[in-house]
Amino acid sequence: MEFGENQRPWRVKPELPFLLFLIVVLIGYVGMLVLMVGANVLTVSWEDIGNVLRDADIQRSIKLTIVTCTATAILSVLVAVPLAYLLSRYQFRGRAFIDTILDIPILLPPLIVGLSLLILFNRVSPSTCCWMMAGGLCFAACVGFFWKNKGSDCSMIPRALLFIGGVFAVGALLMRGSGSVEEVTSGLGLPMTFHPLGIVLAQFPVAAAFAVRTMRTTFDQISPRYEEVAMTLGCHRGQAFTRVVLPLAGKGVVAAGTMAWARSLGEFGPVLIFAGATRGRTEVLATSVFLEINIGNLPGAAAISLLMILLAVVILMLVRFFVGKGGAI
Amino acid sequence: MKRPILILFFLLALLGSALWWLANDRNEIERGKGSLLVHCAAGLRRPMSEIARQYEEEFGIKIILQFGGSGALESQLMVAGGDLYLPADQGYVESVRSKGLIKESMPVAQLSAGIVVPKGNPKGIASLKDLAREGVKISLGEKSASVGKFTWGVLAKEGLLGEVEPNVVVTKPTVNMIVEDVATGAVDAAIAWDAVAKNFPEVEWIPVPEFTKRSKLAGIGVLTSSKDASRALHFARYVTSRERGRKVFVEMGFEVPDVGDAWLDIPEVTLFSGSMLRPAIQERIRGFEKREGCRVNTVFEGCGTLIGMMKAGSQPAGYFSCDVKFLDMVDDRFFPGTVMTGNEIILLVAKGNPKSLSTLADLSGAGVKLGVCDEQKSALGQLTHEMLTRRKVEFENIAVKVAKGDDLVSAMQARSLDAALVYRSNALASPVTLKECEIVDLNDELAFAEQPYAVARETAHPELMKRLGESLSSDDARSDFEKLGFTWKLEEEE
Repeated sequence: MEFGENQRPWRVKPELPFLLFLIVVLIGYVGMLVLMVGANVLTVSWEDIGNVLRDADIQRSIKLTIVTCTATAILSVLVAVPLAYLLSRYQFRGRAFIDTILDIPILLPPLIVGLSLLILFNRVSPSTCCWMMAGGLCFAACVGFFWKNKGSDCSMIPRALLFIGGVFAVGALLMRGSGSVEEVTSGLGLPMTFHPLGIVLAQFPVAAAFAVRTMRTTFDQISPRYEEVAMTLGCHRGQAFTRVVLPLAGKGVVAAGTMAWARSLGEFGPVLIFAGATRGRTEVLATSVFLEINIGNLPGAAAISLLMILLAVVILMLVRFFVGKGGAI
Repeated sequence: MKRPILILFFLLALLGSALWWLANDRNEIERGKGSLLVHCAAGLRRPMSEIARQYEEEFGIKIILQFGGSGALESQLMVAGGDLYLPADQGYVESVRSKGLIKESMPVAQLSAGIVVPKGNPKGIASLKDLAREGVKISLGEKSASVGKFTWGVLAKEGLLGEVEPNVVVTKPTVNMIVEDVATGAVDAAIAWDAVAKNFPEVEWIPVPEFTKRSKLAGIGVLTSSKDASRALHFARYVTSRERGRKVFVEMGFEVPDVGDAWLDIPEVTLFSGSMLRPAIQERIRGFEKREGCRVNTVFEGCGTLIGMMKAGSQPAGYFSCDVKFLDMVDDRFFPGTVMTGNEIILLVAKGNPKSLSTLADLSGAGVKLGVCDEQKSALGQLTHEMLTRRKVEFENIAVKVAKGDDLVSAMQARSLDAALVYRSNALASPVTLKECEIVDLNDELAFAEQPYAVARETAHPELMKRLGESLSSDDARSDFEKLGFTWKLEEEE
């Protein structure tokens, strides 16, 4: 290789071209997003936005969207934090299997989530559900009994699994002939299918899966040494978790919640199938857009889209401002 | 994040209140308690929303409309039930009915498919053949939507499928979406229902004979899963009534079928029926009244008497006649009837047949006391009279002429006659009869009456009467008839 007169080639190769490359990518992608929003803006007049905001059905849709997304996000975090901690800190047989199951909601087309819920609630009896749970837990317990982890003689966990499986089996016997799951929940005053509560249930599986992923990464990044130190100082595992790990994972929790909230905002397929897209009843903003397109109201649909973008940006900013001050969510 | 427990409690409280709000939503009315769930084709969205609003206003019953493609709704209702199903094509109603999920159905509106192009028709598309031109981009309905099923079917029948298909750039699950494609300029043409295309100011609808000659009837079906069938039928009647639902459909540019019922909260109709049919249909009519929430006034008489009443000015909404001949006499007042059942005339003799009567000829023998019906008063009498005349049986032996077959059966039980010519159903109406008497088959082609059911031309409730006819010809009804010795005539026609 010849370097000619200049003896230090690395100096004349400035970072400018690379930086330009980065900027081009940035312009390409962000530009596309801005253009998409811009196209929406162009089809909408102030009058359309006024009409949409004055529409009682849309007002209700906004309210319902905020309430359901918030409920789903909280529910997701409550499930994701302990689950992710378990997966992050404990080694056990079948962990890879559970990991795979947790990915199912992310991989599947969202429509299938809705369809599965619809079938589960209307075609399957609670007794059958309990039998399936009992069967699964007994199988897990057997796995635990026969393939004990090296160095661990603790048979508490398989026994606990077996016990819970037994409880399900008793439940199955008690609930024989009680109709479908939907009939049972309706009887308890919690109707799900084609009902506002069903929206939360439809949003939850996917939202929670994303929250678990986020929390898992967070916990993986926190060194177990902190807990170990806390425990040598007299904490038991639970205290170490609540007093040491959780405060450290605070930003991750907020991120998981935000992620779940944002996912729920856009969730459309499962809500449409399981909770229905009934005007003024189980209509959330994502389904509002669909309903407006369905009656040929393109400006209305675009106006709602803008509303959703605005809502998402405002909520994300608020969360960043109040909770994650200075933190990168 | 200094006090996780506090935050946890806060989150739980927030979650609890959110879920509480959702579960006790004011907008919510329980299904089956003053509300109806209607699975409605997306293409009928505008008129149905308006009709549902009017109905809610008038009766305070919440109508929950579930919109989607006709086929998608079908799978949804199969899992989740509901009260009513309104696809854009009667064919779906029939297919769901064949699965036993629909009981009644009524026609709602007529849909004609045509080509949808952007306003001004820039590509100059005027016929189906133009769709096969190179460079024309087309959006069609998916086969799960009724418009798609229809379009693909017609294209195949017209032999244009091979030429048009390469131009189809996209298929969509509901008719609204394909019109939307034209409206946004994403495609050059689509095939959609006229009434849907008229909602969009950006498009033009071009009728093509291949489609308009096969216009589709959208029908509403009452699901067997409905927990409040009377309420569901009430709404279905509302949607299809001339003064209510149909009016909205017409205002929104839909064509509607000519016939349609007048709107009445509780309709009242009159059915004239031959008295022989009473044991077979009385209970069933009561069940029909209860389910439909209507009143059916029934007049059971000999058919001669019924004809007399009609000539005197009575206008029944329906007529279940003892024999085709007695419908022919008043056929100007009724739509063509459907023969539902047949009833054979038999010879009823005393147990053991002491006079050994086995043919019509035996009736001419000396000393036989024969009972018949009056030819003026009933179909049985007239048929008997004609049969005896043509088979040259002596009239001298006729000891008595009564108004109805039942009277002859009573006379036989009183042993005041040696033989009587009655319907098989007369003899089987009461189990007591066959303890005293026995049936001798005449095996004569003239010894047969056929009972047609007909709906009046002038009635305000033709659809209701049609449904009454359907209810009287259901499988359950068939067994009622057959128990009474009627033969079933409908099968042959189907």
